[in-house]
Amino acid sequence: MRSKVFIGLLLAALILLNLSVDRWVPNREKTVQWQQALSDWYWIQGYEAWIKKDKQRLLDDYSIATALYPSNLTYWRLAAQTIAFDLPTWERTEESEQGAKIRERYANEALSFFERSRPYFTEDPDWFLTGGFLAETAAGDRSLAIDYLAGAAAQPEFSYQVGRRYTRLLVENGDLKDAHAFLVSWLADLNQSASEAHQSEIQAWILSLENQLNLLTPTN
Amino acid sequence: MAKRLRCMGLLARETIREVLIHNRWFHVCVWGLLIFVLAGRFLTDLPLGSSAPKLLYDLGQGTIMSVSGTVLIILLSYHLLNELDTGAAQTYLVRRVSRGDYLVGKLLGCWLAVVLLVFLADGLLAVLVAGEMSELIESGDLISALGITGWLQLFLFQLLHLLILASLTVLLVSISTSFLFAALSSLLLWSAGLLMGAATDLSGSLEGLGGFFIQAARFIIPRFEVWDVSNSIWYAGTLPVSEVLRTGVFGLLYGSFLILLAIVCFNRRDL
Repeated sequence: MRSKVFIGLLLAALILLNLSVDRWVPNREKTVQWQQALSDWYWIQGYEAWIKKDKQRLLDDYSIATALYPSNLTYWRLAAQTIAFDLPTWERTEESEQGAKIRERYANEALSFFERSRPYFTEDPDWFLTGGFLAETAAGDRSLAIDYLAGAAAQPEFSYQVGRRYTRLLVENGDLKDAHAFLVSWLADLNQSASEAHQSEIQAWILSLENQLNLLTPTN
Repeated sequence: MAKRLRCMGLLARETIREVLIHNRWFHVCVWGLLIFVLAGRFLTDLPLGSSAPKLLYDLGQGTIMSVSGTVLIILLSYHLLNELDTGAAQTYLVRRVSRGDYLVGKLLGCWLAVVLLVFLADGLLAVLVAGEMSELIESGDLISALGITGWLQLFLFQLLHLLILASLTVLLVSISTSFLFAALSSLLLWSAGLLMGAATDLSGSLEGLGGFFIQAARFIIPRFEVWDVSNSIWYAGTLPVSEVLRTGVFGLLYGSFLILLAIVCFNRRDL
């Protein structure tokens, strides 16, 4: 009888420990190894579906591979790019108008697929950069691309590529003042370790934008 | 003939009763499998979009087949070799029960017990998947759901798969005296048979001895991957009747051949 009570208490303690593990071990990597292994397995299955051009299977395999290991940005990025750029070619038709519609449909599908990963990368500039790339090149939506890159530029640290792309998009969109303000703040935030070539490029860009802004400003 | 069938039926019934009523390890496996299938429901909270039912289905099918196959191998190996060791088998065999009838009776008993386990788990999985799919259909994210015919076909193929696995186990039991050898070699051959499809694809890119061994293994190891139709049924809804019949007849022939081989080996064995 005593041993049964003891076993019962041990089991209860084990359950309590399991329930409180999140509280005691914060910020730990949530994805366990079997999930990663399973995710890789589905990714390989997706490759097989890609070879066979089996769209529905590919979408399922990529969805499951990314969902099982959601902190893996590479899978999200590659899957979204496959949806945006590969799937339309599987349905290519002779008529260019219909082809554009197909591309638009898949671009939206890729973006909504990629958006599922947002909660896992709220502080990752690379995620915003990928979103911006998809929005610009696949969907042709410059405003959306700017929104994504603004998210990347709002991070404490972001790559030179992010800043450059963001500025280019703002300039192309006609938002010269925003582009100038961003470049000035970016230059001020750049630390000493930033390469001189990058710094001088940003300075040259600021000057060029100031010239354009002066030309645009009406003189009395 | 009728007497032999009756004899096999009685043996099978006795084995089922023993497994279902007295085998506590089997009870634990039943509850464990049902809990594992149910646990798949928690994974659907992941960012899966309209692929949530597919993950539930895949994990459920994978768990059902791996657990039921392992349970079948262990049950059969242990049951037969334990009865041979303790002399319980000899008490049947002196009562005008032929060795073949004894083997087939035991095989059928263990197989039917595991079929019941698969039936319960499949039923639970079907309810979970249908629930998940109906939510997606209501929200317009999914157009069609897997119907009852698809589930029945899937169940039929699982039965065939398990029957061939049981026949293979009986064959290995009939040539061995060790439970561990019979169970482990059955598990090994079964796993190799399941991976044979992927290995065959790989052998195309392998040159030399590696590719040769994989090609040679294809002719020896039973190719269990043929009976795994879960993906085809999921995407096609149902398989054509002609394909089901053809595969079904082939499976029965394959299983019968293995059982005949097992009986021949068992008849030559000293008891």
